[in-house]
Amino acid sequence: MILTDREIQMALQTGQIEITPPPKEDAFSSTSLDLTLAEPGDVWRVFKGQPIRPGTKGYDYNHLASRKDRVSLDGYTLNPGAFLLAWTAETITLPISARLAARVEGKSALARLGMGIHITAPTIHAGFKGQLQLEMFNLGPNEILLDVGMRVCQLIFEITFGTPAKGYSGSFSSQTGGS
Amino acid sequence: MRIKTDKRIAGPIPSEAVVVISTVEGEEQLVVHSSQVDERGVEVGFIRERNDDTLLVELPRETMSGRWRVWVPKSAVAA
Repeated sequence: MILTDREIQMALQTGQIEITPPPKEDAFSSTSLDLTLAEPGDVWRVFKGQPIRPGTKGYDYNHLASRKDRVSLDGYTLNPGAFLLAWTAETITLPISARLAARVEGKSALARLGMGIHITAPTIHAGFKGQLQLEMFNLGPNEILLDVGMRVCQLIFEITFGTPAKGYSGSFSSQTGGS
Repeated sequence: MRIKTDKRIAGPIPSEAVVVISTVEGEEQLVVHSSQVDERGVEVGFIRERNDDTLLVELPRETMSGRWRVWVPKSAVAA
């Protein structure tokens, strides 16, 4: 079931959803909540002949970090065919106990220009905490200029059926308390 | 529950950290919110225990290799 605006607001008031900074009133629609673009972004550098191999044992984050350039997104030109990594300004927390998950989706106004904000895996799982990382791309024919603070995506909140296994205070033989 | 981290380095943005954990199959790296890791280790969800003293835990985010759940030795659990 998808939460309506009033249910989202109630969940924010009761702490079942935590968003920092708190969303403005006009960020809501009847069944979604807009989030905004943060500084900065990351752009992949091209290393011809040096493929990335994510399935290999020992795949290393530092290997990834060295292949990206950090860019300012305020006034950044997203060229046709370009791809970049960005984040939402808002930090989202979905406590496990709230039995809520969310999906991050693009904005129609941006999609019509050819701009998307995620390639796959839109689900924000129950228990998530953090700023949402966005995979932004431009499939349209025109350059698109970005502005920090622009509405860039929307969250749709859904009630989970049951509590995930990690949400139970199940114990193992050595566990003495919660985290 | 927390499991010990082998290493912690700065994440891609200030609110995040990269942690390295040891699983029964080797090291895994993942990006987490900085509040989810401290000197004791990284927050995980306990799923179940196996007879060979290993635990199946769910990580707060997907690892670099795409895993959410990993088997860790019981000794990896932070006190």
